[in-house]
Amino acid sequence: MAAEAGQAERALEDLIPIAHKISSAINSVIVGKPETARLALTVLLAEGHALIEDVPGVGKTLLAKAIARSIDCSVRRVQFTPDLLPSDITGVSAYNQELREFEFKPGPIFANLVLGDEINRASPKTQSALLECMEERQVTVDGITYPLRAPFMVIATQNPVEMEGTYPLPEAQRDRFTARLSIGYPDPAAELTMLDEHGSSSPLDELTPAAHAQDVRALIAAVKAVHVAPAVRQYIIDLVNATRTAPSLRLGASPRAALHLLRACRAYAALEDRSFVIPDDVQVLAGPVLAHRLLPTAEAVVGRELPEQALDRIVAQVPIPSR
Amino acid sequence: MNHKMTAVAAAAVILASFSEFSLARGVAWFAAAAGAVIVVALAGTLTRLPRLQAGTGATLLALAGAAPLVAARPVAVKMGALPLLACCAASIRWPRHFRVVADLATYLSALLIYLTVVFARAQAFALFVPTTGVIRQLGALARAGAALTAYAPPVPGTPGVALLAAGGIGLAAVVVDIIAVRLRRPALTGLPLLAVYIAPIASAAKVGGLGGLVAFALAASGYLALLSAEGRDRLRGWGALVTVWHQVGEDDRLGGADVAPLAATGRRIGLAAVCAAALAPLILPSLHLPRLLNGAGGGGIQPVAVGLPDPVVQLHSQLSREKPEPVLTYRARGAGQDDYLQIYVLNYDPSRGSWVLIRPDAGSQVGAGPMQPPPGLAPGTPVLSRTLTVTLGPVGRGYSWPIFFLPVPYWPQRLQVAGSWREANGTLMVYSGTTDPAGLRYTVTSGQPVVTGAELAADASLPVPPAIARDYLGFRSPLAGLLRGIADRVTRGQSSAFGRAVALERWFQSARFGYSLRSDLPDTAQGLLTFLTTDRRGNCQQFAFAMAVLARLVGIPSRIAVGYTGGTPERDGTWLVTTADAHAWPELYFPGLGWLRFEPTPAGPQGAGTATQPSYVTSPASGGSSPGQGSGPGPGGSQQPSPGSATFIRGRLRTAAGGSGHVTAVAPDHGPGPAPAALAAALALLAAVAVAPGAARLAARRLRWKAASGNAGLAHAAWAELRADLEDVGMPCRDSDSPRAVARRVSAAVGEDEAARRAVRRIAEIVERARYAQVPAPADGLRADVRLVRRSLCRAAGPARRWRARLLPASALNPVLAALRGAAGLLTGWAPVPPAGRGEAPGAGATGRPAAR
Repeated sequence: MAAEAGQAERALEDLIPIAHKISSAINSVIVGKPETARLALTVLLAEGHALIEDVPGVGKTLLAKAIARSIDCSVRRVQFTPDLLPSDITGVSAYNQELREFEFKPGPIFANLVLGDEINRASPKTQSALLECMEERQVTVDGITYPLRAPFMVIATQNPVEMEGTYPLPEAQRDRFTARLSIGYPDPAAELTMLDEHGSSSPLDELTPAAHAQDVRALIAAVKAVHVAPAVRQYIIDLVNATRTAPSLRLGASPRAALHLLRACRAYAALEDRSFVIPDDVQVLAGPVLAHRLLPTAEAVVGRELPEQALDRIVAQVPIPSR
Repeated sequence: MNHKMTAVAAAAVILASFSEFSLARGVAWFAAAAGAVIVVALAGTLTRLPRLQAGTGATLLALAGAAPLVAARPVAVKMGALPLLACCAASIRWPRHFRVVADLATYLSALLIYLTVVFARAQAFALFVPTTGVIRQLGALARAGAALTAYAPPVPGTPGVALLAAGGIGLAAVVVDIIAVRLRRPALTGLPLLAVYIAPIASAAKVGGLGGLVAFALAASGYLALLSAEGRDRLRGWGALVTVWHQVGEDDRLGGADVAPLAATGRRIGLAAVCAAALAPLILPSLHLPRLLNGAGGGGIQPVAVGLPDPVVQLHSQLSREKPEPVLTYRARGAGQDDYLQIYVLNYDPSRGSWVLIRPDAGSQVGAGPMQPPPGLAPGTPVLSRTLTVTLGPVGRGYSWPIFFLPVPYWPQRLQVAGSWREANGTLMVYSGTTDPAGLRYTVTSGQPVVTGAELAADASLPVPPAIARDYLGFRSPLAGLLRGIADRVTRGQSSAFGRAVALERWFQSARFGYSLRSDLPDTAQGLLTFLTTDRRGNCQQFAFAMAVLARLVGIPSRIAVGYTGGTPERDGTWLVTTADAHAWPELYFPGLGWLRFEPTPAGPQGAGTATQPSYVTSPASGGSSPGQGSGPGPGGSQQPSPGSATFIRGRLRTAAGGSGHVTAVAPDHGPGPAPAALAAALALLAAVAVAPGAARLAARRLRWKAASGNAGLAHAAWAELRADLEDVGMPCRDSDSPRAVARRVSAAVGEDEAARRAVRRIAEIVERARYAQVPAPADGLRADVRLVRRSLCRAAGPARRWRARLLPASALNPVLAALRGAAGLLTGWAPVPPAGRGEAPGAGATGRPAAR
């Protein structure tokens, strides 16, 4: 066991510098938000999908693009609009008159990184088409199944649901996103730096890929070797269960959420140069991974208590495993 | 109708009556009293039935209860019963006007019928209807019970006592029931309940101690339960509370508010009040209830000022008679001598600063068999017996009192006397509250110890029993130092206790002291000092008291006996004791021999006429003839001492007096008296209690490190230690705090101490690896790291916190407090809340959740 652990650690040691390079590349674009970049990278390494939710203009799309650019892999961007059709995403079978047969024209989903901008502006029908691809990692058109390439990650951005012209994502679909990130306004100093550096040109232009797709695949494989002690697994279960019994939550976290949390914790620990998960990882990731799946009760809504606050309380109350 | 209130009121009375256990022995009286209370409660329930049932019940009960009135011979009394019955009957029709009379008749008749059934069935008609015979029987029993009140409690639980208890407590129950249930003023029931509870305190019963504490707690709980029950009822009736969460239960069915939380609060306050009241006297040692109420107390043997004679006054009234009058005559038979007739035994009462009669306890009944053995006499010691046949003269001349103490030589082995007499434990005083002593004739056989040389040698190794040392060694006075100086000077050069005693007696018998009946020196330490240093004239009282005090100051337990000397011989061989022979003398305690009489008062025509020095003091070795020798009675029997017995003991004791060391000082010479010893014990206990938490913490630390093995074990131990240290300095960890979070908090707390910061980071890292990694990290130096962090934390915490962490470590105290809380919760039915410190750690807002790095 010790030998295995040593092997996994060595594999991680080799690969982690690559992850750090990606991270610093993203950071050079999104100034002053290293934790957001790290979370985004965590989602990538956990084979998940990220939902970036924030007000317009804080750099949601820029973040998504930065991640995409910093990895040398195929990137497609879909701007979601109310008139977007499912086939606009998955692709269509068109009749090729020369060959006299139907030919599949892959949609933008066939890429390593898919950037779904303003996902909640599309109709639910189109949203669900995308979300199916996210979960199954394959597309079925006219009875033929086309697998998607690995790594595959959807980075969707959405404006807060209160904004006009939006179709809020149903719970079932939100549940497919591993984490919900928000960027937030930069602090004044970072904002000043941003004006200085990016005032004349787009930072994305100067960004060069820091890693190849196969590097990312190797990283994802290495992350799976990160050790999760039974106590930490129990802690994850305790936390998830606590959301199901919390008085201020109408809907708690799903078993899928527990799974996502476990994967994310592995990735996060790896990014921290650690070969094992500690409860701190779980605590840090509980908010991003769980909060968007929770529904508050009517009383909590009236009391203006957000699910994030309920989650904070749960994290503060659930004892961490001692051994 | 309120059955609950009725039941709680009855329970309160029964609980309050627990305190009477210090008044009477056995449980028969208690059973009778509890039965009376239950009968009264049933009667009360009857009065609260609808008017038809209540009125009918009242009439029937009154008919039975008033039967003795109807049967009484005077017509006027007979007529008196009629209006009563009429009122009861009329209450059916006009309850408003006649209810009061009917209710009272119900209560009292029920109680009377109950007492009849229990105590006078034989005289009753149909087993329960009282008759005049029943009344006579109850009266006789009550008188017999009341006669026992002359004795020091606890008295035997005779039927008379049981009747008094049942009647008295039953009446109290009537009052409580009326006030609490009928008038709905339960707070006022405190008065009758207090009357029941306080009876032993008002008497001479020995109260206090654990039993007193329990009795108090029971009585207070009963009263509080009564208040609580009524308050809850009343609140529910008003519906004053608005609650959101209803529980389906009685409260809902009644349509009132749920008062359970309020009742729980009440119970909590009540519990706290009872605990505080029970514990307060421990914290305030000066607040000693018997001392407050009757001025007596102190010491293990409690003198009594109620109902008992003052021996000193009686002694003086006899000595100051112009013409001596005969008190008794006796005829002696058998070996032995020195027949001082002892009546009272006095002990020093530090709280009063004087010598007072030791309250005789109930002791044992004097019967045909042998009496109690003398305290302190080693078993197997040969004893010389002597029999006196005593005839008392008219009582009133001597030591007369309603409780009569029989003059007997110390110590009585066997007593043949008419009437009911008891022998007190320890002092062996023989007394009776019922027997008329005038002209009484009795035969008493008394013993004197004879010891062999081997036994005497063994005696020398015997220590003074702690009970004797506690009760008979104490003397507290600001002048004790001066007096001790005198005593030391007098007994200088004497190595044995007996030698010192003899030296003291000779000093008093020497020419520097004189006898004066008219001495009016007060019975205080100052008076004693004046007597010893300047006045040097006094009567037997001053001499006895002075020698007893000086003996205590040189470490010999002492007490005072009051009674008569042996008197003067008559021509017919009898001895005549007159009021002029009234006398007081000291008795000194020697382990293995018990109490021995000494005689410091000068005898002879210029002294206390017939006083004699005991034979073991008068010896050629001590300077030939003593003042009393030859003038004493030398009773007939003693003139032919059985060879090798009396002479032998004299010889042995003489040797001891000569300093051969057979009877050596085994008393704690000049050692601390009982009070300083108790104080020292209390201080030691306090000190132990004070250092216990800190010691427990240290022990826990040591054990924790000792039990830890391997890297993982050491890491876990280090973590437990760090958490405990944090708890001690007031920074408790939450269960949800990870090692890193704790390390961050500690780093913030220790300020600039970089070494401590590094240490705590290292600890967190090692703990983390031990817990969550596949391979734990080496745990070298972890103990040093924990120590470093602890010191740094203590430095940063400030002196107050630091000392608290050392003396009252929270990690050692909190489990105890939690257990107490749990126990209290079980008692009061309220769930313990977790301590606030664990839920919301200080600074949790800043450090509770780790920020993403």
